[in-house]
Amino acid sequence: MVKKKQDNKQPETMGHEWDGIKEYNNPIPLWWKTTFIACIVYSVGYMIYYPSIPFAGKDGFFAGIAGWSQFKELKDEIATGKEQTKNLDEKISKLTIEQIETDPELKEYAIATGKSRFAVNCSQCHGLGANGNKGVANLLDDEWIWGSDIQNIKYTITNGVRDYTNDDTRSGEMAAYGLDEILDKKEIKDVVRYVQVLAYNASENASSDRGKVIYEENCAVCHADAGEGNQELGAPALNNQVWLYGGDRKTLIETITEGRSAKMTSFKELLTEDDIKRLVVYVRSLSDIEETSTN
Amino acid sequence: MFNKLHKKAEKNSILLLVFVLITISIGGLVEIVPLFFINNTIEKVDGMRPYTPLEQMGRNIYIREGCYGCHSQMIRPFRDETERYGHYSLAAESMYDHPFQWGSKRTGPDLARVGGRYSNEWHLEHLINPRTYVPESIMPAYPFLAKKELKADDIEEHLKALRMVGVPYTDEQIANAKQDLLAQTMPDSAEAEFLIKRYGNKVPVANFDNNEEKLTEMDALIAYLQMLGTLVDFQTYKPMPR
Repeated sequence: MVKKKQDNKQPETMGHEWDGIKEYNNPIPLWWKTTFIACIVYSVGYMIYYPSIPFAGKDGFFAGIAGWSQFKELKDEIATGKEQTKNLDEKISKLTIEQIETDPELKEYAIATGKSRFAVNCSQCHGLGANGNKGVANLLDDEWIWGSDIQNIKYTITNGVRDYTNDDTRSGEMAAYGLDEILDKKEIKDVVRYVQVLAYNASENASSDRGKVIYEENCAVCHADAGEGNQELGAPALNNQVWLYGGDRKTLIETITEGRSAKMTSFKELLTEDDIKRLVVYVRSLSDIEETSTN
Repeated sequence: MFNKLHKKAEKNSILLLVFVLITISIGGLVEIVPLFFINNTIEKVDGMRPYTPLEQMGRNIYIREGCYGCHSQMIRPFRDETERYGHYSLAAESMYDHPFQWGSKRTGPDLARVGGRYSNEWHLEHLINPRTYVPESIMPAYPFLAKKELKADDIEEHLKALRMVGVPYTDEQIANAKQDLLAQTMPDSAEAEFLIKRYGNKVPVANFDNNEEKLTEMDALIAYLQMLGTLVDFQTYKPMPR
């Protein structure tokens, strides 16, 4: 259109000229003008509907006729989310963990929601895949330090391990046999040699025989005669190859010399009872506990 | 007349600059000034206190190491954020922050409420090598913090400077800054009691880095991390009706 006009008649110019350059005095394009005016009209509606004008109203601003606020929106969003899972949540809070585990739909829900709580609260130490770390239990295997049944796992999560901010916490320390001078360096090496017999079926020799005597006097109280361990005391089994800190000779010497007291937070104050239920179901779902617990 | 003014402004760059400045100022003032008068811009909450000297030094290390490059300290009022991190951040919780640590760039998680979530031992091991606990972590390791002695001879000056910009440190707090700095790493000591008397009982007191020999930068950083977001009690906090 502009071209057509130019053909017919030279449009009006602004009247100034710099180095032969002139400026046309064309009107603003219609589409631009309309959009501009539409925006102004829209803004009036927006100002009436949403919080807008300062120095008015009791909060120090005009709150708008819709009463919108981002905090109200958050509240509604949370309420909607709760409404969607209300039935299942009520069941989780009413039923016991045993009952939740027998209802397949509920179990699936508890596992899914337990998993998200695990990611927020537990994964920082146990790992996102629950595979543990040095000094932090692996939750995927069948080895349990404090027991794998529902009540024990619930107790561990609720009260923690050696978290002395909670009086009910699981306690039981392994002494620092080297640092406290209960055993000397040679004796510790003998015990390690005997632990290797228990764990790896290493061949017996003079050193392991000496270690056996020391083991029976010092270690068997908690770890049991054949190294079966004791879940009531939190003494890990030594007759297998699952280790909390490591099963190589160097680490075993370090463990006996310095003692071990891994800590786990007590979640009593941090999580609700229902959250803990979900976590128990999730953690139990990671390893095939149903099979092992019936044994 | 208007046309004349237009012509003048087009040919006089100083005049044009003045007009541009006036226009932009109006836009800015309209957005900023009302915030000073709206009652709930900064909520009134119980529990906020200035940082203790050790926490303030930890905060300086946090800024020096550029932690803000990956971690924000601002939980936005969205459902997904409040479920993961806790109650959304209040403006009042940053009232003694100079500079504040808000942001929207999160390579790591938000830290606005990291205080008390993990043990001191966890923070220590994690800062020395984040891969110890989180194998997939891409956070750099900061083992040197545990070795480096905290340089804080000028702690009083830090607090004085903050007082100038509005943090209500008392003369007593400034006079005892050096003692308080050490006291926070000495649980069950008389000095720690004075510290708690001056800053309230929510001050985390512990030997944060497990090193009794010296006060390290690690002590300061963990002390700071362990108090983040813990001051306002959300069991009793009631948001303003709006």
